Amino acid sequence: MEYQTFFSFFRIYLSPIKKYQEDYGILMKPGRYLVLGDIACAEGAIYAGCSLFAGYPITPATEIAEYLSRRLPECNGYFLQMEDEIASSAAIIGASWAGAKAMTATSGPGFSLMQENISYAYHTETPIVIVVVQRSGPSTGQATYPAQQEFYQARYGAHGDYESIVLSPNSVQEAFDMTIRAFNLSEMYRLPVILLMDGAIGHMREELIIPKPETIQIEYRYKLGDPQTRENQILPMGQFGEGHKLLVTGSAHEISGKRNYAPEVHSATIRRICSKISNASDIIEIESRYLDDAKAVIISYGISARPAYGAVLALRKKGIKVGFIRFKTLWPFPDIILQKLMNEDINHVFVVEMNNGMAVREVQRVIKNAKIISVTQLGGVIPSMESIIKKVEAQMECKN
Amino acid sequence: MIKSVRIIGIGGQGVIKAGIILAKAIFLKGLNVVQTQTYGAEVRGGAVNADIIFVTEKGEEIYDLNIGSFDFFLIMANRGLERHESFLKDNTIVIFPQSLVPEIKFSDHPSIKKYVILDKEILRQLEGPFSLNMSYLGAFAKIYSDLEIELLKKTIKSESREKYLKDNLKALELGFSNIRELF
Repeated sequence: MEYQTFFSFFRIYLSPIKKYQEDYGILMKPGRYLVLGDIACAEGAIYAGCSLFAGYPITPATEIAEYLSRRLPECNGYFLQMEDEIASSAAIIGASWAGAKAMTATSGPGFSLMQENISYAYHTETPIVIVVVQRSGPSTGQATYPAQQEFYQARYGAHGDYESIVLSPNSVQEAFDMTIRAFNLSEMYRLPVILLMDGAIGHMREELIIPKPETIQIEYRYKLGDPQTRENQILPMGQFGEGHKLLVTGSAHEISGKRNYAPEVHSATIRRICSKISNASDIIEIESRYLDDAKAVIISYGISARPAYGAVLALRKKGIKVGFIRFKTLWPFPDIILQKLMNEDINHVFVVEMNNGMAVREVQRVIKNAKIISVTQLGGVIPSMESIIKKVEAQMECKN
Repeated sequence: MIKSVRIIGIGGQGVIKAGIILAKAIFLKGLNVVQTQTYGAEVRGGAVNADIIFVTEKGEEIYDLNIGSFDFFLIMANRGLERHESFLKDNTIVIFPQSLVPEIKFSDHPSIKKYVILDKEILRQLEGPFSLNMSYLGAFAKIYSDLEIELLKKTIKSESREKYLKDNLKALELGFSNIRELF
Protein backbone atom coordinates (compact mmCIF):
# COMPACT_ATOMS: atom_id res chain seq x y z
CA MET A 1 0.00 0.00 0.00
CA GLU A 2 2.74 2.37 0.95
CA TYR A 3 4.54 1.54 -2.25
CA GLN A 4 1.40 2.28 -4.20
CA THR A 5 1.14 5.72 -2.66
CA PHE A 6 4.80 6.39 -3.22
CA PHE A 7 4.67 5.49 -6.88
CA SER A 8 1.35 7.22 -7.52
CA PHE A 9 3.18 10.41 -6.67
CA PHE A 10 5.47 9.87 -9.61
CA ARG A 11 2.65 8.79 -11.86
CA ILE A 12 0.79 12.01 -11.27
CA TYR A 13 3.66 14.41 -11.21
CA LEU A 14 6.15 12.99 -13.64
CA SER A 15 3.86 12.41 -16.57
CA PRO A 16 4.98 14.21 -19.71
CA ILE A 17 3.74 17.75 -20.13
CA LYS A 18 0.95 16.91 -22.52
CA LYS A 19 -1.38 19.80 -22.20
CA TYR A 20 1.05 22.34 -23.54
CA GLN A 21 -0.81 22.64 -26.79
CA GLU A 22 -3.77 24.31 -25.14
CA ASP A 23 -1.65 26.36 -22.81
CA TYR A 24 0.41 28.94 -24.65
CA GLY A 25 1.04 30.64 -21.34
CA ILE A 26 3.79 28.27 -20.28
CA LEU A 27 5.55 28.20 -23.63
CA MET A 28 7.70 30.63 -25.49
CA LYS A 29 5.17 32.07 -27.92
CA PRO A 30 5.54 31.29 -31.61
CA GLY A 31 7.73 33.94 -33.18
CA ARG A 32 11.25 35.02 -34.00
CA TYR A 33 13.86 35.17 -31.23
CA LEU A 34 17.58 35.77 -30.85
CA VAL A 35 18.68 33.17 -28.33
CA LEU A 36 21.58 30.94 -27.34
CA GLY A 37 21.67 27.45 -28.83
CA ASP A 38 21.49 26.09 -25.29
CA ILE A 39 18.26 27.99 -24.65
CA ALA A 40 16.81 26.80 -27.96
CA CYS A 41 17.61 23.24 -26.89
CA ALA A 42 15.99 23.75 -23.47
CA GLU A 43 12.88 25.29 -24.99
CA GLY A 44 12.72 22.43 -27.50
CA ALA A 45 12.74 20.02 -24.57
CA ILE A 46 9.75 21.78 -23.04
CA TYR A 47 7.91 21.67 -26.37
CA ALA A 48 8.67 17.95 -26.58
CA GLY A 49 7.03 17.42 -23.20
CA CYS A 50 10.13 17.00 -21.03
CA SER A 51 8.93 16.91 -17.45
CA LEU A 52 12.19 16.23 -15.63
CA PHE A 53 15.72 17.46 -16.04
CA ALA A 54 18.49 16.15 -13.81
CA GLY A 55 21.98 17.43 -14.32
CA TYR A 56 25.23 18.85 -13.12
CA PRO A 57 26.54 22.12 -14.54
CA ILE A 58 29.40 22.09 -17.02
CA THR A 59 30.56 24.57 -19.62
CA PRO A 60 29.17 24.86 -22.29
CA ALA A 61 25.97 23.02 -21.30
CA THR A 62 25.26 24.92 -18.09
CA GLU A 63 22.82 27.33 -19.68
CA ILE A 64 20.48 24.44 -20.48
CA ALA A 65 20.31 23.48 -16.79
CA GLU A 66 20.14 27.09 -15.66
CA TYR A 67 17.28 27.89 -18.00
CA LEU A 68 15.34 24.71 -17.23
CA SER A 69 15.74 25.24 -13.49
CA ARG A 70 13.47 28.23 -13.98
CA ARG A 71 11.30 27.03 -16.84
CA LEU A 72 10.46 23.47 -15.81
CA PRO A 73 8.78 24.42 -12.51
CA GLU A 74 6.76 26.99 -14.47
CA CYS A 75 5.61 24.15 -16.72
CA ASN A 76 4.77 21.79 -13.84
CA GLY A 77 7.97 19.87 -14.49
CA TYR A 78 10.89 19.06 -12.19
CA PHE A 79 14.47 20.25 -12.14
CA LEU A 80 17.01 18.28 -10.13
CA GLN A 81 20.48 19.60 -9.42
CA MET A 82 22.45 16.39 -8.87
CA GLU A 83 25.75 15.81 -7.12
CA ASP A 84 27.47 14.63 -10.29
CA GLU A 85 26.88 13.28 -13.77
CA ILE A 86 26.66 9.66 -12.63
CA ALA A 87 23.72 10.53 -10.43
CA SER A 88 22.22 12.74 -13.14
CA SER A 89 22.10 9.89 -15.63
CA ALA A 90 20.70 7.54 -12.99
CA ALA A 91 17.99 10.05 -12.05
CA ILE A 92 16.70 10.46 -15.58
CA ILE A 93 16.57 6.69 -16.08
CA GLY A 94 14.50 6.37 -12.89
CA ALA A 95 12.27 9.26 -13.90
CA SER A 96 11.68 7.69 -17.29
CA TRP A 97 10.49 4.46 -15.65
CA ALA A 98 8.17 6.57 -13.54
CA GLY A 99 6.62 7.93 -16.73
CA ALA A 100 8.56 11.14 -17.34
CA LYS A 101 10.12 12.33 -20.52
CA ALA A 102 13.50 12.97 -18.94
CA MET A 103 16.68 14.63 -20.07
CA THR A 104 20.14 15.64 -18.96
CA ALA A 105 22.74 17.91 -20.52
CA THR A 106 26.49 17.72 -20.19
CA SER A 107 29.79 18.01 -22.02
CA GLY A 108 32.70 15.62 -22.72
CA PRO A 109 33.96 14.97 -19.16
CA GLY A 110 30.45 14.57 -17.74
CA PHE A 111 29.49 12.37 -20.68
CA SER A 112 32.37 10.04 -19.76
CA LEU A 113 30.99 9.70 -16.24
CA MET A 114 27.53 8.89 -17.55
CA GLN A 115 28.63 6.02 -19.77
CA GLU A 116 28.00 3.21 -17.31
CA ASN A 117 24.41 4.27 -16.80
CA ILE A 118 23.92 4.90 -20.50
CA SER A 119 24.83 1.27 -21.08
CA TYR A 120 22.21 0.36 -18.47
CA ALA A 121 19.68 2.50 -20.34
CA TYR A 122 20.44 0.69 -23.61
CA HIS A 123 19.96 -2.71 -22.02
CA THR A 124 16.82 -1.74 -20.13
CA GLU A 125 15.52 0.10 -23.21
CA THR A 126 14.88 3.28 -21.30
CA PRO A 127 13.84 6.33 -23.31
CA ILE A 128 16.01 9.26 -22.22
CA VAL A 129 17.61 12.21 -23.95
CA ILE A 130 21.23 13.11 -23.31
CA VAL A 131 22.37 16.43 -24.66
CA VAL A 132 26.13 16.64 -25.08
CA VAL A 133 27.42 20.13 -25.81
CA GLN A 134 30.93 19.34 -26.98
CA ARG A 135 33.97 21.26 -25.82
CA SER A 136 37.62 20.95 -26.66
CA GLY A 137 39.34 18.06 -24.85
CA PRO A 138 40.82 15.65 -23.94
CA SER A 139 40.22 16.08 -20.22
CA THR A 140 39.58 19.70 -19.23
CA GLY A 141 41.37 20.76 -22.43
CA GLN A 142 40.05 24.11 -23.59
CA ALA A 143 36.88 24.03 -21.55
CA THR A 144 35.38 27.21 -22.97
CA TYR A 145 36.22 26.45 -26.60
CA PRO A 146 34.24 24.29 -29.03
CA ALA A 147 35.17 20.99 -30.70
CA GLN A 148 33.62 17.87 -32.26
CA GLN A 149 35.57 15.24 -30.41
CA GLU A 150 32.75 13.08 -29.02
CA PHE A 151 31.85 11.60 -32.42
CA TYR A 152 32.98 8.16 -31.29
CA GLN A 153 32.23 8.51 -27.58
CA ALA A 154 28.59 9.05 -28.53
CA ARG A 155 28.65 5.76 -30.45
CA TYR A 156 31.05 3.54 -28.54
CA GLY A 157 31.46 5.25 -25.16
CA ALA A 158 29.39 2.80 -23.15
CA HIS A 159 30.23 -0.86 -22.65
CA GLY A 160 28.48 -3.78 -24.29
CA ASP A 161 26.66 -4.26 -27.56
CA TYR A 162 24.21 -1.64 -28.69
CA GLU A 163 23.32 0.73 -31.52
CA SER A 164 23.08 4.45 -30.93
CA ILE A 165 20.95 7.27 -32.21
CA VAL A 166 23.02 10.45 -32.33
CA LEU A 167 21.79 13.72 -33.84
CA SER A 168 23.94 16.67 -34.86
CA PRO A 169 22.40 20.16 -35.18
CA ASN A 170 24.23 22.90 -37.09
CA SER A 171 22.29 25.98 -36.02
CA VAL A 172 20.35 27.40 -33.11
CA GLN A 173 17.15 26.56 -34.98
CA GLU A 174 18.20 22.94 -35.32
CA ALA A 175 19.12 22.83 -31.63
CA PHE A 176 15.41 23.42 -31.00
CA ASP A 177 14.10 21.16 -33.76
CA MET A 178 16.47 18.29 -33.05
CA THR A 179 15.83 18.29 -29.31
CA ILE A 180 12.19 17.64 -30.12
CA ARG A 181 13.24 14.96 -32.61
CA ALA A 182 15.54 13.41 -30.01
CA PHE A 183 12.61 13.04 -27.61
CA ASN A 184 10.39 11.69 -30.36
CA LEU A 185 12.92 9.08 -31.47
CA SER A 186 13.65 8.09 -27.91
CA GLU A 187 9.96 7.59 -27.17
CA MET A 188 9.30 5.79 -30.47
CA TYR A 189 12.24 3.42 -30.22
CA ARG A 190 12.31 3.16 -26.43
CA LEU A 191 16.01 3.92 -26.30
CA PRO A 192 18.42 6.65 -25.19
CA VAL A 193 19.02 9.32 -27.82
CA ILE A 194 22.07 11.56 -27.82
CA LEU A 195 21.91 15.11 -29.12
CA LEU A 196 25.52 15.85 -29.98
CA MET A 197 25.67 19.62 -30.13
CA ASP A 198 28.76 21.78 -30.63
CA GLY A 199 29.83 24.18 -27.91
CA ALA A 200 29.90 26.78 -30.66
CA ILE A 201 26.15 26.33 -31.20
CA GLY A 202 25.34 26.11 -27.50
CA HIS A 203 27.09 29.43 -26.92
CA MET A 204 25.98 31.21 -30.06
CA ARG A 205 23.07 33.60 -30.32
CA GLU A 206 21.17 33.32 -33.55
CA GLU A 207 17.67 33.41 -34.95
CA LEU A 208 15.21 30.88 -33.58
CA ILE A 209 11.77 30.67 -35.13
CA ILE A 210 9.30 28.94 -32.85
CA PRO A 211 6.48 27.47 -34.88
CA LYS A 212 2.91 27.09 -33.73
CA PRO A 213 2.76 24.20 -31.24
CA GLU A 214 0.05 22.42 -33.22
CA THR A 215 2.45 22.09 -36.16
CA ILE A 216 4.99 20.19 -34.06
CA GLN A 217 4.61 16.43 -34.05
CA ILE A 218 5.12 14.97 -30.57
CA GLU A 219 5.50 11.23 -29.98
CA TYR A 220 4.71 9.27 -26.82
CA ARG A 221 5.98 5.87 -25.82
CA TYR A 222 4.14 2.64 -26.40
CA LYS A 223 2.96 1.59 -22.95
CA LEU A 224 1.82 -1.68 -21.46
CA GLY A 225 -1.88 -1.99 -22.17
CA ASP A 226 -1.81 0.28 -25.25
CA PRO A 227 -3.16 -1.24 -28.46
CA GLN A 228 -0.13 -2.50 -30.33
CA THR A 229 0.71 0.05 -32.96
CA ARG A 230 4.47 -0.16 -33.17
CA GLU A 231 6.61 -2.80 -34.80
CA ASN A 232 7.04 -6.03 -32.87
CA GLN A 233 10.61 -5.44 -31.81
CA ILE A 234 9.64 -2.31 -29.86
CA LEU A 235 8.21 -3.56 -26.61
CA PRO A 236 5.55 -1.77 -24.60
CA MET A 237 6.98 -0.11 -21.51
CA GLY A 238 5.64 -0.56 -18.03
CA GLN A 239 5.50 2.30 -15.59
CA PHE A 240 5.96 2.35 -11.86
CA GLY A 241 2.81 3.37 -10.07
CA GLU A 242 0.44 1.91 -12.61
CA GLY A 243 -0.06 -1.41 -10.90
CA HIS A 244 2.44 -3.48 -12.87
CA LYS A 245 4.96 -5.70 -11.17
CA LEU A 246 8.05 -4.31 -12.76
CA LEU A 247 11.58 -5.60 -12.65
CA VAL A 248 14.08 -3.36 -14.37
CA THR A 249 17.49 -4.94 -14.53
CA GLY A 250 20.72 -4.37 -16.35
CA SER A 251 21.43 -8.08 -16.14
CA ALA A 252 20.41 -10.45 -18.94
CA HIS A 253 16.64 -10.66 -19.00
CA GLU A 254 13.66 -11.99 -20.89
CA ILE A 255 11.15 -9.76 -22.66
CA SER A 256 9.14 -9.70 -19.43
CA GLY A 257 12.11 -8.26 -17.56
CA LYS A 258 12.77 -11.45 -15.59
CA ARG A 259 16.45 -12.33 -15.12
CA ASN A 260 17.66 -15.05 -17.45
CA TYR A 261 21.29 -15.75 -18.29
CA ALA A 262 20.57 -18.35 -20.95
CA PRO A 263 22.77 -17.76 -24.02
CA GLU A 264 19.83 -17.83 -26.42
CA VAL A 265 17.81 -15.39 -24.32
CA HIS A 266 20.56 -12.81 -24.01
CA SER A 267 21.64 -13.07 -27.62
CA ALA A 268 18.02 -12.61 -28.72
CA THR A 269 17.67 -9.54 -26.48
CA ILE A 270 20.82 -7.90 -27.81
CA ARG A 271 19.95 -8.65 -31.42
CA ARG A 272 16.43 -7.32 -30.95
CA ILE A 273 17.62 -4.09 -29.30
CA CYS A 274 20.20 -3.51 -32.03
CA SER A 275 17.77 -4.34 -34.81
CA LYS A 276 15.35 -1.68 -33.58
CA ILE A 277 17.82 0.85 -34.92
CA SER A 278 19.58 -1.00 -37.70
CA ASN A 279 16.27 -1.93 -39.35
CA ALA A 280 14.69 1.49 -38.96
CA SER A 281 14.25 3.64 -42.03
CA ASP A 282 13.10 6.87 -40.43
CA ILE A 283 16.06 7.73 -38.21
CA ILE A 284 18.75 8.81 -40.65
CA GLU A 285 18.54 12.36 -42.00
CA ILE A 286 21.08 13.68 -44.44
CA GLU A 287 21.31 16.94 -46.34
CA SER A 288 22.79 16.90 -49.83
CA ARG A 289 23.24 19.63 -52.41
CA TYR A 290 24.83 20.12 -55.84
CA LEU A 291 25.70 16.46 -56.27
CA ASP A 292 24.41 16.05 -59.84
CA ASP A 293 27.42 17.52 -61.60
CA ALA A 294 29.90 17.23 -58.72
CA LYS A 295 33.50 16.18 -59.29
CA ALA A 296 34.25 16.49 -55.60
CA VAL A 297 32.16 16.56 -52.48
CA ILE A 298 32.60 18.17 -49.07
CA ILE A 299 31.12 16.16 -46.22
CA SER A 300 30.63 17.71 -42.80
CA TYR A 301 28.31 17.92 -39.78
CA GLY A 302 27.41 20.24 -36.96
CA ILE A 303 28.95 23.68 -36.86
CA SER A 304 31.76 22.79 -39.31
CA ALA A 305 29.12 22.14 -41.95
CA ARG A 306 28.39 25.86 -42.10
CA PRO A 307 31.76 27.08 -43.35
CA ALA A 308 31.89 23.87 -45.40
CA TYR A 309 28.69 24.83 -47.21
CA GLY A 310 29.92 28.40 -47.62
CA ALA A 311 33.08 26.95 -49.18
CA VAL A 312 31.00 24.85 -51.59
CA LEU A 313 29.13 27.96 -52.76
CA ALA A 314 32.36 29.95 -53.13
CA LEU A 315 34.10 27.13 -55.03
CA ARG A 316 31.18 26.72 -57.41
CA LYS A 317 31.36 30.45 -58.16
CA LYS A 318 34.93 29.83 -59.22
CA GLY A 319 33.76 27.05 -61.52
CA ILE A 320 34.91 24.14 -59.38
CA LYS A 321 32.09 21.62 -59.25
CA VAL A 322 31.83 20.66 -55.63
CA GLY A 323 28.88 19.00 -53.97
CA PHE A 324 27.84 19.07 -50.32
CA ILE A 325 26.69 16.42 -47.86
CA ARG A 326 25.78 17.04 -44.23
CA PHE A 327 25.07 14.35 -41.67
CA LYS A 328 22.13 15.45 -39.54
CA THR A 329 22.20 12.01 -37.95
CA LEU A 330 25.71 10.86 -37.04
CA TRP A 331 24.66 7.42 -35.81
CA PRO A 332 23.44 5.12 -37.18
CA PHE A 333 26.00 6.03 -39.82
CA PRO A 334 24.32 6.49 -43.20
CA ASP A 335 26.33 3.80 -45.04
CA ILE A 336 23.83 2.95 -47.76
CA ILE A 337 22.55 6.47 -48.33
CA LEU A 338 26.09 7.77 -48.63
CA GLN A 339 27.01 5.11 -51.17
CA LYS A 340 23.93 5.94 -53.22
CA LEU A 341 24.71 9.67 -53.19
CA MET A 342 28.15 9.14 -54.70
CA ASN A 343 28.09 9.43 -58.48
CA GLU A 344 30.86 7.99 -60.60
CA ASP A 345 32.38 11.37 -61.41
CA ILE A 346 33.17 12.18 -57.81
CA ASN A 347 36.85 11.51 -57.34
CA HIS A 348 37.62 13.64 -54.27
CA VAL A 349 35.81 13.54 -50.94
CA PHE A 350 36.70 16.08 -48.26
CA VAL A 351 35.58 15.45 -44.70
CA VAL A 352 35.58 18.63 -42.61
CA GLU A 353 35.41 18.29 -38.82
CA MET A 354 36.73 19.81 -35.60
CA ASN A 355 38.81 16.88 -34.36
CA ASN A 356 41.83 14.92 -35.48
CA GLY A 357 39.83 12.94 -38.03
CA MET A 358 36.93 10.82 -36.78
CA ALA A 359 34.00 10.79 -39.19
CA VAL A 360 36.57 10.50 -41.97
CA ARG A 361 37.27 6.94 -40.81
CA GLU A 362 33.64 6.01 -41.34
CA VAL A 363 33.63 7.71 -44.73
CA GLN A 364 36.75 5.72 -45.66
CA ARG A 365 34.95 2.56 -44.64
CA VAL A 366 31.94 3.34 -46.82
CA ILE A 367 33.38 5.08 -49.90
CA LYS A 368 35.94 3.02 -51.78
CA ASN A 369 36.23 4.62 -55.22
CA ALA A 370 37.30 8.18 -54.43
CA LYS A 371 40.25 9.86 -52.78
CA ILE A 372 39.26 10.78 -49.26
CA ILE A 373 40.88 13.82 -47.68
CA SER A 374 40.54 14.65 -44.02
CA VAL A 375 40.20 18.38 -43.32
CA THR A 376 40.63 18.77 -39.60
CA GLN A 377 40.59 21.75 -37.28
CA LEU A 378 41.81 21.59 -33.72
CA GLY A 379 42.52 24.14 -31.02
CA GLY A 380 38.94 25.08 -30.22
CA VAL A 381 38.47 27.01 -33.44
CA ILE A 382 35.75 26.66 -36.06
CA PRO A 383 37.33 26.00 -39.47
CA SER A 384 37.23 29.06 -41.70
CA MET A 385 35.76 29.03 -45.18
CA GLU A 386 39.09 30.15 -46.52
CA SER A 387 40.99 27.22 -45.01
CA ILE A 388 38.53 24.74 -46.51
CA ILE A 389 38.64 26.41 -49.93
CA LYS A 390 42.45 26.33 -49.91
CA LYS A 391 42.52 22.66 -49.04
CA VAL A 392 40.08 21.77 -51.81
CA GLU A 393 41.87 23.88 -54.39
CA ALA A 394 45.26 22.45 -53.47
CA GLN A 395 43.96 18.91 -53.85
CA MET A 396 42.14 19.51 -57.08
CA GLU A 397 45.11 21.33 -58.58
CA CYS A 398 43.15 24.22 -59.95
CA LYS A 399 44.31 27.14 -57.93
CA ASN A 400 43.05 30.45 -59.25
CA MET B 1 27.27 42.03 -47.34
CA ILE B 2 28.78 40.59 -44.19
CA LYS B 3 29.76 43.05 -41.45
CA SER B 4 31.55 42.20 -38.26
CA VAL B 5 32.16 43.79 -34.89
CA ARG B 6 34.48 42.61 -32.13
CA ILE B 7 34.15 44.01 -28.62
CA ILE B 8 37.22 43.47 -26.46
CA GLY B 9 37.52 43.89 -22.72
CA ILE B 10 37.97 42.06 -19.46
CA GLY B 11 35.46 39.93 -17.58
CA GLY B 12 33.08 42.09 -15.58
CA GLN B 13 33.03 45.09 -17.91
CA GLY B 14 29.87 43.97 -19.67
CA VAL B 15 31.55 43.01 -22.93
CA ILE B 16 29.19 40.12 -23.63
CA LYS B 17 26.17 42.11 -22.49
CA ALA B 18 27.08 44.85 -24.95
CA GLY B 19 27.48 42.18 -27.62
CA ILE B 20 24.05 40.75 -26.91
CA ILE B 21 22.37 44.15 -27.01
CA LEU B 22 24.08 45.10 -30.26
CA ALA B 23 23.13 41.75 -31.82
CA LYS B 24 19.52 42.08 -30.67
CA ALA B 25 19.25 45.61 -32.07
CA ILE B 26 20.48 44.38 -35.46
CA PHE B 27 18.15 41.40 -35.17
CA LEU B 28 15.22 43.80 -34.71
CA LYS B 29 15.93 45.12 -38.21
CA GLY B 30 15.07 41.64 -39.51
CA LEU B 31 18.67 40.86 -40.48
CA ASN B 32 20.53 37.63 -39.86
CA VAL B 33 23.02 37.99 -37.04
CA VAL B 34 25.30 35.63 -35.14
CA GLN B 35 26.74 36.61 -31.78
CA THR B 36 29.48 34.58 -30.16
CA GLN B 37 31.91 35.14 -27.34
CA THR B 38 35.31 33.96 -26.21
CA TYR B 39 36.37 33.94 -22.61
CA GLY B 40 38.74 32.12 -20.34
CA ALA B 41 38.02 30.09 -17.25
CA GLU B 42 37.96 33.16 -15.00
CA VAL B 43 34.77 34.79 -13.86
CA ARG B 44 36.26 38.25 -13.61
CA GLY B 45 39.40 39.84 -14.87
CA GLY B 46 40.17 37.55 -17.78
CA ALA B 47 40.35 38.63 -21.39
CA VAL B 48 36.92 38.50 -23.05
CA ASN B 49 35.69 39.29 -26.48
CA ALA B 50 32.22 39.29 -28.01
CA ASP B 51 31.86 38.97 -31.77
CA ILE B 52 28.87 40.04 -33.81
CA ILE B 53 28.63 38.99 -37.43
CA PHE B 54 25.67 40.32 -39.38
CA VAL B 55 24.41 40.85 -42.90
CA THR B 56 23.33 44.13 -44.41
CA GLU B 57 20.57 42.72 -46.64
CA LYS B 58 17.57 40.68 -45.59
CA GLY B 59 17.82 37.03 -46.58
CA GLU B 60 21.61 36.90 -46.71
CA GLU B 61 23.12 33.96 -44.85
CA ILE B 62 26.15 33.72 -42.56
CA TYR B 63 28.31 30.70 -43.32
CA ASP B 64 31.74 31.72 -42.13
CA LEU B 65 31.91 31.98 -38.35
CA ASN B 66 35.69 32.15 -38.15
CA ILE B 67 36.22 35.29 -40.14
CA GLY B 68 39.79 36.44 -40.53
CA SER B 69 39.21 40.13 -39.86
CA PHE B 70 36.68 42.54 -38.42
CA ASP B 71 35.16 45.78 -39.69
CA PHE B 72 34.83 47.28 -36.22
CA PHE B 73 36.76 46.93 -32.99
CA LEU B 74 35.30 48.34 -29.80
CA ILE B 75 38.12 48.21 -27.28
CA MET B 76 37.28 48.50 -23.61
CA ALA B 77 40.56 47.22 -22.12
CA ASN B 78 44.13 46.51 -23.10
CA ARG B 79 44.48 43.00 -21.81
CA GLY B 80 45.28 40.47 -24.51
CA LEU B 81 44.96 43.11 -27.19
CA GLU B 82 47.98 41.86 -29.12
CA ARG B 83 46.04 38.66 -29.78
CA HIS B 84 43.59 40.61 -31.89
CA GLU B 85 46.05 42.55 -34.03
CA SER B 86 45.99 39.97 -36.80
CA PHE B 87 42.24 40.56 -37.18
CA LEU B 88 42.75 44.13 -38.39
CA LYS B 89 42.32 44.91 -42.08
CA ASP B 90 42.28 47.98 -44.28
CA ASN B 91 39.63 50.43 -43.15
CA THR B 92 38.90 48.61 -39.91
CA ILE B 93 37.34 51.12 -37.57
CA VAL B 94 38.82 50.97 -34.08
CA ILE B 95 37.15 52.73 -31.19
CA PHE B 96 39.14 52.95 -27.99
CA PRO B 97 38.75 54.88 -24.79
CA GLN B 98 40.53 58.14 -24.16
CA SER B 99 41.95 56.83 -20.90
CA LEU B 100 43.78 54.01 -22.65
CA VAL B 101 45.19 55.78 -25.66
CA PRO B 102 48.76 55.98 -24.45
CA GLU B 103 48.86 52.27 -23.76
CA ILE B 104 47.45 51.10 -27.03
CA LYS B 105 49.94 49.92 -29.60
CA PHE B 106 47.12 48.78 -31.78
CA SER B 107 47.58 51.66 -34.14
CA ASP B 108 50.55 50.73 -36.30
CA HIS B 109 48.42 49.15 -38.98
CA PRO B 110 48.68 51.52 -41.95
CA SER B 111 45.09 52.20 -42.87
CA ILE B 112 42.82 51.64 -39.92
CA LYS B 113 40.50 54.43 -38.85
CA LYS B 114 40.85 55.38 -35.23
CA TYR B 115 38.24 56.92 -33.02
CA VAL B 116 38.44 57.76 -29.39
CA ILE B 117 35.52 57.66 -27.00
CA LEU B 118 35.73 60.26 -24.25
CA ASP B 119 35.18 57.78 -21.46
CA LYS B 120 36.36 60.07 -18.67
CA GLU B 121 33.82 62.67 -19.68
CA ILE B 122 31.10 60.05 -19.95
CA LEU B 123 31.93 58.51 -16.57
CA ARG B 124 31.78 61.94 -14.97
CA GLN B 125 28.15 62.25 -16.04
CA LEU B 126 27.03 58.74 -15.13
CA GLU B 127 25.96 57.58 -11.71
CA GLY B 128 28.28 54.58 -11.75
CA PRO B 129 30.76 52.80 -14.00
CA PHE B 130 28.45 49.87 -14.79
CA SER B 131 26.84 51.43 -17.83
CA LEU B 132 30.04 52.42 -19.62
CA ASN B 133 29.69 49.48 -22.00
CA MET B 134 26.52 51.03 -23.39
CA SER B 135 28.38 54.17 -24.39
CA TYR B 136 30.44 52.09 -26.81
CA LEU B 137 27.23 51.05 -28.52
CA GLY B 138 26.24 54.71 -28.78
CA ALA B 139 29.61 55.45 -30.33
CA PHE B 140 29.17 52.56 -32.73
CA ALA B 141 25.75 53.84 -33.78
CA LYS B 142 27.28 57.26 -34.46
CA ILE B 143 29.82 55.75 -36.86
CA TYR B 144 27.65 53.02 -38.36
CA SER B 145 24.62 55.06 -39.31
CA ASP B 146 22.69 52.07 -40.73
CA LEU B 147 21.91 51.07 -37.16
CA GLU B 148 19.35 53.44 -35.71
CA ILE B 149 20.04 54.44 -32.13
CA GLU B 150 16.32 53.98 -31.43
CA LEU B 151 16.73 50.23 -31.98
CA LEU B 152 19.53 50.18 -29.42
CA LYS B 153 17.36 52.10 -26.97
CA LYS B 154 14.50 49.67 -27.50
CA THR B 155 16.82 46.73 -26.88
CA ILE B 156 18.38 48.29 -23.80
CA LYS B 157 14.89 48.85 -22.39
CA SER B 158 14.04 45.18 -22.82
CA GLU B 159 17.41 43.83 -21.67
CA SER B 160 18.37 46.08 -18.74
CA ARG B 161 17.72 45.61 -15.10
CA GLU B 162 15.48 48.32 -13.72
CA LYS B 163 18.13 49.95 -11.55
CA TYR B 164 20.58 50.37 -14.44
CA LEU B 165 18.09 51.28 -17.14
CA LYS B 166 18.30 55.05 -16.76
CA ASP B 167 22.08 55.07 -16.65
CA ASN B 168 22.30 52.66 -19.56
CA LEU B 169 20.19 54.89 -21.78
CA LYS B 170 22.15 57.94 -20.68
CA ALA B 171 25.44 56.18 -21.41
CA LEU B 172 24.18 55.30 -24.88
CA GLU B 173 23.40 58.94 -25.62
CA LEU B 174 26.69 60.10 -24.15
CA GLY B 175 28.63 57.61 -26.24
CA PHE B 176 26.83 58.85 -29.33
CA SER B 177 27.92 62.41 -28.70
CA ASN B 178 31.35 61.86 -27.14
CA ILE B 179 33.34 60.27 -29.92
CA ARG B 180 36.16 61.90 -31.85
CA GLU B 181 38.17 60.82 -34.83
CA LEU B 182 41.86 60.47 -34.06
CA PHE B 183 44.33 61.56 -36.71
